[in-house]
Amino acid sequence: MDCRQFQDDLSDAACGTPIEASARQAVLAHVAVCSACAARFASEHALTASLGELGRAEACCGAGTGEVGVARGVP
Amino acid sequence: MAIDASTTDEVLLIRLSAGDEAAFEALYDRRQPAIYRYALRMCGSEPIAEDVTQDVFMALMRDAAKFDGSKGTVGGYLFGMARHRVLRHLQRGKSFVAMNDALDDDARADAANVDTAADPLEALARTRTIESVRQAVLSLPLHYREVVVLCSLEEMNYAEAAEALGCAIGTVRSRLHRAREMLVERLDAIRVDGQVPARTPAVRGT
Repeated sequence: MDCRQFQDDLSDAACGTPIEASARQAVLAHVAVCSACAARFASEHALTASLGELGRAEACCGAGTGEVGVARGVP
Repeated sequence: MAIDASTTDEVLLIRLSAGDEAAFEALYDRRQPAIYRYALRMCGSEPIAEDVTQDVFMALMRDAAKFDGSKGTVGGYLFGMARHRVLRHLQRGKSFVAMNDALDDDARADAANVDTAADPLEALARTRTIESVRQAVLSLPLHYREVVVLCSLEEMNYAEAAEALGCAIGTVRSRLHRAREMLVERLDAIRVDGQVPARTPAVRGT
């Protein structure tokens, strides 16, 4: 079993990128029998959650609402 | 014709080209927050992010007629302009201020306390987690940082990010995967050592 063949799909699956159902099933089947990839899948899932939390925090704390002072009005 | 949520960016840009001020305001209100966040996350500096955002929309007002819809979307066009300006700032070496310093304590606390104000310990833990991730993202080499900002924080798909970055979809995917590996390593290091591994200078990795 070569873990490398699952790496890209594993990352896509963990970060929520849509992938084909068959590829997702293959990843999940591999993760079920490979402890190293299961650990990586869990780490990537946690990272996805943390990045989502950062994105939500910045979206609502003013980072996205800065008034940049563009002079309204077209030339 | 009235402008509402169904009015596309492309229509707004055509109207802007014809001197329609309301079209500019609608486009600005719709797109400014994401452009500002992108610049802030890339530079880690609020003043630079404001400069970049202002410059992008000034250029849009000036050159709206230059947009070619056959080459991509208005969103991609705006991110492309923002990226060009961010890279220029980073290459000048003026703007690499840690976001840790750029955002004041109140802003960070507000960010972490939005949903957990009733539980101070949970809010504190959340603040630390968010700050760790923020610093880890800022520590990435530039071309890895930008795919994380676009795909993971702005929630663009690979095609949208590829358009904004002017590269192939496969390049975005492989960079994102590598960037995520680096983030996992750096966050593990933070958990062990309590600090982000040595920051990669902003201009490296371009």
